[in-house]
Amino acid sequence: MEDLIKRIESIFKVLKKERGKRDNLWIIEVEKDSLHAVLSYLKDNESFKHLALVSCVDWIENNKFQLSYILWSYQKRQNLIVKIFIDRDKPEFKTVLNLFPQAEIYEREIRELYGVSFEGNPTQNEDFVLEDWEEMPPMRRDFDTLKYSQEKYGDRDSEVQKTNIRKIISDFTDEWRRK
Amino acid sequence: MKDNKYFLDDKPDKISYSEVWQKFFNWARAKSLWVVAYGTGCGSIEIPPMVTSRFDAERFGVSTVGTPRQADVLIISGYLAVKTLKRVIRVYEQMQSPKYVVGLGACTVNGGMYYDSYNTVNLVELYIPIDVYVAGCMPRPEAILAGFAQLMKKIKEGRADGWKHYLDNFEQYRKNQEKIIKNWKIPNYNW
Repeated sequence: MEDLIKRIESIFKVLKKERGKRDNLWIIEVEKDSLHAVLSYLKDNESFKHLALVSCVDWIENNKFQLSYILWSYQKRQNLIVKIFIDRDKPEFKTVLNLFPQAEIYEREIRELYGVSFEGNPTQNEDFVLEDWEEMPPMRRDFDTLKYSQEKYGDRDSEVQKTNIRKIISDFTDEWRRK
Repeated sequence: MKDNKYFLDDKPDKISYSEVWQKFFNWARAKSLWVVAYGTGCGSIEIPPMVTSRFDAERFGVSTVGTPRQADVLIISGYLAVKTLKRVIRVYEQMQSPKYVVGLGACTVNGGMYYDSYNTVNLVELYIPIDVYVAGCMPRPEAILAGFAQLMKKIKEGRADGWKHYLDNFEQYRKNQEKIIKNWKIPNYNW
């Protein structure tokens, strides 16, 4: 798999590379302008024909969104994650529909849950799992779900019997060990 | 949606019988509860073992039916999202009264492990009346059968009157429902 990374490095600028938890899983970070070229190269020349997932991570400390494109090669049986960072204040990117048609539904999901819009995706504004959502996208980390839930759905006004379950379990196991 | 001629918005008439007949009806109703084959959450996976041969709910007269029009019981099996709530209200209102609702799992009681989720309704009883709660996450089929035994007892004693409560406090229920459902596209009531 190192050969593959070297071949990619010889053509494109790879900002960061690291091995994943398995031998056949590597993660590379590229510049966002060269992502389409990298994906196209991997698809046509390196047999990474299967886009398994497009996912998004909210790095609120760095004011960035991370987009990860997880690729799989059937011939080599290898995973490659290509990741880019986009600006959090301006969450826009271009679609990869022309390379992988299955990206349509992933991009629609990210659009709804993170608010990242993908230029060129025709169905990105349709409802995915939420209907009539008016707040900020719910998977962003500055969205307070507990506050929203209590305001919108209410809470049961009754005494909650608070028990420390961890303590009960640890007491129980201690007792059990002593026997 | 008043202008839609395909839906009937009028409320049903309440027919009152004498107490003896009422007791007889309740006795008969408790013996044959038909459940809508409709699952809303992870609890719907507990329904097939309940009605099939291992736990065999049919020996208590509990059977599944494919349409809400012929059903008596609606099971809210687990967490309820806002998107699902619309469908649940639609199904519940299409059922013929008397109708009963069983809330299954901790999520219907107070949100359960999804108490802070942006998309899960915490208190289902604000939106539709619930006759019997079965606590657990998830309850086993034995627990569901115990809940049905409780429901039968309530029906026989004439205490399972959630559907009457829904009729009497219809405006309040509808107000609660419209508070969280923004785009209300279903008829005012489909009796």
